Amino acid sequence: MSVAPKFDEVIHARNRLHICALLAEADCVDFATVQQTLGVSDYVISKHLKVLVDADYVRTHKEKQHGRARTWLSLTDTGRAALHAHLAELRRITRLGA
Amino acid sequence: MANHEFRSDGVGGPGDKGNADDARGALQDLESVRARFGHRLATPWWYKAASALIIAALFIGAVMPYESISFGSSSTGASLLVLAVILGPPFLRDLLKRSTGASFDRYRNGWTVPSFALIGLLVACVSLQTFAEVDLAPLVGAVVGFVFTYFYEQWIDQRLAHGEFPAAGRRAPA
Repeated sequence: MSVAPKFDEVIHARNRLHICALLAEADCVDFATVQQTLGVSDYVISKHLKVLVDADYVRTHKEKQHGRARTWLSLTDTGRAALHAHLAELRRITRLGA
Repeated sequence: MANHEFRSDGVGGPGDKGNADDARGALQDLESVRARFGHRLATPWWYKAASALIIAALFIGAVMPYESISFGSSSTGASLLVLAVILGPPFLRDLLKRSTGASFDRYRNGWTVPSFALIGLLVACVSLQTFAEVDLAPLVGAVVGFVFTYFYEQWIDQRLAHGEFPAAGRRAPA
């Protein structure tokens, strides 16, 4: 399936691109797992997540486990489509400079 | 990791080489992120063992020669089947989700060949038991199925650690 390349300002920031790419591989991922995989602080992840949630690219839900809340993140269909289009654009740019 | 601050407005101008390098860098970063994520998703030993046990239980439950095994009974066989086929996989999947912090289908597009191999083995065991009266064939099949599944799970973990996620229409292209 070919995707029309489209640069996405929301996804383009490095940490947001990484968060989306990571979420694209799973149905849902725990906040702590995202944070530890990317090796950045809670604050940085929270800040970027807010942008992604506001853009309707990522949805969150909380689950209580052993008395503590765990936040699960998943990519929305809109977010997935935007990610695919942005990656297609990155590949297009790569080819331009080849 | 490089900080990719390029803009996508190039249509062949002089800045495209730098943009292309940045875009390439961003894509390479993604591969590294995927590999780190895949590495985190490696299953613990108990998952591989339990998954292998479920396959073994399937063999034993399906074709165990109950009459010749002193500890067997038809209800034991039925219980093993229920445990293996109905309760085992979702229970294990939930445990794995809690353990790794991610929920995803690690077998997406990945069970076709192994499934046929295991079904072939099951058919061979049933045939040997029924037609050649090799009563312990299912037990041998269970052991082979256990080892096969254990190493198959390990192989999936190795692929994930290289950032090779199960291919599916919905995944992000590399």
